[in-house]
Amino acid sequence: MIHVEGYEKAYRNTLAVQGLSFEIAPGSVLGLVGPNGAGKTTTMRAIAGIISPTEGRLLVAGHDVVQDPIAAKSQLAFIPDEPQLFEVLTVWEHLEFTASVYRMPDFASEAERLLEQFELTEKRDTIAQELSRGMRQKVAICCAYLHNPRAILFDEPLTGLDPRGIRTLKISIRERAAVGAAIMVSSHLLDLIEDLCSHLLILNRGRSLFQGTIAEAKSKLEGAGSEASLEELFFQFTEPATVAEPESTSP
Amino acid sequence: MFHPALFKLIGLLWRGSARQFRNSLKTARGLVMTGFIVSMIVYGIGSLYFVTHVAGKTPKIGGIFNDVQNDFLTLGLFVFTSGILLFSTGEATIFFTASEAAFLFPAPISRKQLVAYKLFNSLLGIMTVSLFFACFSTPSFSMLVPRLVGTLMTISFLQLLTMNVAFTRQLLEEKTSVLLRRSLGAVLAVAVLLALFQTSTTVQDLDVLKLSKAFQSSFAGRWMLAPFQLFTLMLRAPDWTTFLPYGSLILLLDLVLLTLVFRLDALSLESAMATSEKLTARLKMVQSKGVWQALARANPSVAKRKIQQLPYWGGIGPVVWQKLTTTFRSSNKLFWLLAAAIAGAATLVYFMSRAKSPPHVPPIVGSIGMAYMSLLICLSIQNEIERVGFLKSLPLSAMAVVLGELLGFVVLLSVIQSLFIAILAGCFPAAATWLWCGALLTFPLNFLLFGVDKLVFYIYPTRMAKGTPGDFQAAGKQMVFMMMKMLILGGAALIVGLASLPGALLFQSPVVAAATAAIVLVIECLVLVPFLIAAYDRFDPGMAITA
Repeated sequence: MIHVEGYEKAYRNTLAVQGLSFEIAPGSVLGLVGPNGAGKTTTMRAIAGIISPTEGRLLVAGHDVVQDPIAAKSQLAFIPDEPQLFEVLTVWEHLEFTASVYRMPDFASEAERLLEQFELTEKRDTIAQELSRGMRQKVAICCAYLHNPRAILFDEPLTGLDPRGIRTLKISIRERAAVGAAIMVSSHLLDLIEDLCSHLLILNRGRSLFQGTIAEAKSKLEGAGSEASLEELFFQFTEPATVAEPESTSP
Repeated sequence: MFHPALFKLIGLLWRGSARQFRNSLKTARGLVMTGFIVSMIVYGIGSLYFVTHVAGKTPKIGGIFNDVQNDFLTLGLFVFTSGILLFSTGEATIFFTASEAAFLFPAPISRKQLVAYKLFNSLLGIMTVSLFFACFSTPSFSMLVPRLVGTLMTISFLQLLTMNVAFTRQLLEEKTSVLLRRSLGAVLAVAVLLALFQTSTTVQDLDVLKLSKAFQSSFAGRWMLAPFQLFTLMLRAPDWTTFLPYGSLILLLDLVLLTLVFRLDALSLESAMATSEKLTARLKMVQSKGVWQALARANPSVAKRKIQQLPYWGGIGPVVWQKLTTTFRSSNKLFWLLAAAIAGAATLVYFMSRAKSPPHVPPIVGSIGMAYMSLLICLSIQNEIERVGFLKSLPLSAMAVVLGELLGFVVLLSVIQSLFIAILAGCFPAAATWLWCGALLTFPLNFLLFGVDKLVFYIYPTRMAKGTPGDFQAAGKQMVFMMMKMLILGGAALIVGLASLPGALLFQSPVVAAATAAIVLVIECLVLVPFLIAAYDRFDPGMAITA
């Protein structure tokens, strides 16, 4: 569903991402982890068609995001780390506008279902300015889910959510994956990645250090069995003293 | 060309703004604040209407308006256009808010549709501004429509030019863009210098209208200003017959620029996102830390600007040092602003000395310059709630913090102003006594200005909020706080005036009057300090309100 091939992004003298290739199959949840400045957000924004790649091809549902951005974006949802809403619009108006963007005349029942799922029904007519950080995040997620995207990108999705909100989001991600969406989650919360994702991609300084399933990742950890935590794995891959060789094969 | 969702968004945002306005009228406080700001707007428009349509009908004032429009419209347009070509990045014209970027960039909406959306939004703003200008500059009702269309086309020209500059910059490499700008800047600078030289040889006094006329009729001036003369002729057209040929030319120019905007097809979502993030971060910085720090460019070289640690002075020293270091490292733009003000003042002084202006002029110019400097700096320093919270956690007395927060700026500013006055006094020996009397007042006046600003902030801690359309309450609150400060300062000034009047009348001496005023001002400052300490002591960040 999401296909990235030889993706590179350069800024003047800096190579932010180099030679990145991976694929997210329908129903898979890929966890994207890496230290700050690893190139996670750059990669997600490139897939979302917001920034253009210096090299390489990025496909969403078979559409090239550079050559055919409209078709690619129609199948995609991107939830950035900071939920940016229109301050004077109500929760419902955000959904109304989103439906209009994706040309969905009959959006009301799906919108109401999403509001109920994320416990926003009572806030339906509240303007964004009056919502808490967590609620704003929920509104952004509802808007992203509304057009039933086949590829969903989450950048730090749990920030600001309360425990119930976190549980709802996790359930919803699993549900979306179960119906065939390809999902990418970027987060520093390794527990979340371990809990939610089927696959893992570790980036450091724009290079892929590991790609594969979580189980494969654990099996790579030196001197540890399947009980090893993702945290240990992460540090083994990313600590300067033990930086692993870049991964050359795709999962 | 226009995605229907974008129309929908515009409609929803208008509806949201109207709702915001209605909501602001539902509480008594909101009603008062909104009423206050609305009445201020009505007052402003009313005054303008009176000046242009009532007083403007009199031959004398009408004549001045006529001269000003004739002489400065072309020049103003030239300056504005040169500014766009030489300095503008065009960021503002293609600025997408953070929410627009979040919703529109990953959505299936083409770049051209996004440009059309920005243009449509601009057009709504331009129409409002044009209507305003046209109403106040129209000599007769019959000319309202052509004047409105003319203003609309003129502002559209500037807007489209800025967009084209922004897109061309995105297409060109940085080096080429800089080279182009520098070359154009050099040509313009030479032409302006030539025109100024010819102007200075023909006009000997300080008559701005004469200077402007001489500049425009100089050889270089005529060449530079010729294209802009078309706009003036269109805007000043007395009838439709005169309007149409010039109007058609400007319309053609606008259409060419509009076609170019779409032909360039250079809206890069990447750079638009970067601009959006940069300007949003800057806005947040303005809200929390003030204009200075928002305008400062973060680069490693600022860390080299060091101020020597000050003695402890009962805790005042470290507070002064921290405040001055922060300002020193974030004041690049302010430095240039002050430098431009000083250059402007120097030019004025030069022409005043040539024109042998009467002795009361230099003190007036000096007072205005000083007030400008004080207000500029006072308004630029954002009072930070978090900073006061941090200061309160330190083992420092309230008096040390209050004085430390004030003294650094007040002393520095007073020294700069005294230097400015010294230069003026040197240039105008006849007015030196008056000017030195003014210098005597700088320190207590600055202390009072900054002190009152701090006092109101400590009593009503205000967090700047991002203004949303239709929300007049926030603007109303700011106006109320401004009025409060003005009232306190006005009361203080009244006491100073009343106290120094008898001495001034009795001895007929500016020195006695200034000395009395200074003493009274110092007493007022001393009275202010306990109030400041008490207000600081009861300061509670939790009580912060947004404005």
